[in-house]
Amino acid sequence: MRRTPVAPRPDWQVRVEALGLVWHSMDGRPYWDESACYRFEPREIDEIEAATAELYRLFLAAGEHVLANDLLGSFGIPEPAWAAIRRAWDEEPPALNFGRFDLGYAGDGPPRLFEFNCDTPTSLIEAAVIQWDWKEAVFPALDQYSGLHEKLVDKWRDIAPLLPGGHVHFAHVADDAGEDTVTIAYLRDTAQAAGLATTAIRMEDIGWSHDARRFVDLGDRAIENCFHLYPWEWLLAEEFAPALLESLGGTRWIEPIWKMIWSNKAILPVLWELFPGHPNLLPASRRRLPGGDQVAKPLLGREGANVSILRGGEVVAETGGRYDESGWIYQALYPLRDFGGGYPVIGAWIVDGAPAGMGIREDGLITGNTARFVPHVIED
Amino acid sequence: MHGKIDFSALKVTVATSAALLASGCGGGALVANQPTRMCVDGAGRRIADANCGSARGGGAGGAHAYYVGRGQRVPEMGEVARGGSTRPSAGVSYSSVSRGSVSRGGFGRSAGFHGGFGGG
Repeated sequence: MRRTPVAPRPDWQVRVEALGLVWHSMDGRPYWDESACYRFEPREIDEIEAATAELYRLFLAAGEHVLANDLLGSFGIPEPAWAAIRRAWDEEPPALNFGRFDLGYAGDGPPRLFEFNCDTPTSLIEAAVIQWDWKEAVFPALDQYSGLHEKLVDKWRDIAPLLPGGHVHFAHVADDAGEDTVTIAYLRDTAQAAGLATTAIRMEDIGWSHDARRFVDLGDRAIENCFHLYPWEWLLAEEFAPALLESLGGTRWIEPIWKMIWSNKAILPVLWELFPGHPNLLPASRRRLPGGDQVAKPLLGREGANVSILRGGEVVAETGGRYDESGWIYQALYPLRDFGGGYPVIGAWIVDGAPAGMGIREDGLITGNTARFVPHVIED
Repeated sequence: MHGKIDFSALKVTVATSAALLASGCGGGALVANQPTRMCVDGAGRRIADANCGSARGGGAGGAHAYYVGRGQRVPEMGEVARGGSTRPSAGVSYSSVSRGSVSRGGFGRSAGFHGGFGGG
């Protein structure tokens, strides 16, 4: 694994915008950064892929453990949702079962899990589309770890018979940067490629029909199947939460409510308790670790918010945010390595529980929403 | 690791991003999937459908129906509607104004903190 400079394509902004990446720059600096790339040996990709599959196996076991030991309350999940989570875990309603493991990796040891973004993962179009298009233009003879697009289409095709009416609503926030809006548009494309009809709907436009006891769209059409780029903990904290729980028998929510188990950082201490010393895990606890450098993270934090890095008991880096009321976990600090442009974090994707590709974001010691996405290639 | 992907098939992605760029981003780039009727106030700002008394009639405070065609942008709540018409096109079936029995706005509040979800 190494990082080398690359000449950006003269028209790169136009090119990535044409494929949907309208949020390619932030505050005058590129978010999509093709002035460099990471180069991997095939054995390194094999190592990341194998770790991804292994971590998925660990998460399955951890999910079973959480339910068998009634830990949902300790995850901060509201009690009215517990029965629905158990039922969904057992019944496995249709899902993409996709997500992004964030891993520490520098080519000199096993990949280590930071967290699993599996409820509403983003940086999807960058990993699935933009970096492949870049590779084809800049390094057509080289390969890339990128099978995300085909696997998403395949999974939609797989679950399509389980989606009544063959139609899926895609619910999202109309965010200022366009990231959520375009991510939803891309996922609609993958669903449509599998033969499904789709409709986008903003979260605030979702209606609840008091007569039909169903969620409806702006045309008052029943929402039979709903992909949501909107976290479950937010859905359950809002006015429609009771209606949402009532809807679960009639509306298929993708991803399903059981993802609240895996997307909660309280799962990290559970994993370490079940698999202590596992080479793909970092020590983690609900209390401060007895010694050593560590990271404090909120249970429901996102975008690197409210994260603190503690060295020798002193805070050496921290981010602000609004996630500090959900409780905390402490995770041993992984020594991220600076390859010359910041600290890379591997985003290793799964679809249908199987490894599907990766993307790399660079930032400071805490990877947040100001990170840069840097493409990669595989060299023989 | 995959074969040639025909990215020209990403029609929704391309149309959505083009609409965002044309609008200068800023969120409200929902594109109507079918002819759509909504409710606007006397100043032309989109308001909850419940403010329009009936599908065609006017509502309180100058509220009235506003029509956009398939592929046109649907404005945010509170944003001035543009590009459509206060009169429906003849022969076109529009999605109906919500019935009184439908409540909206019960989702989306949490995102107000930072205007979107992103980066999860």
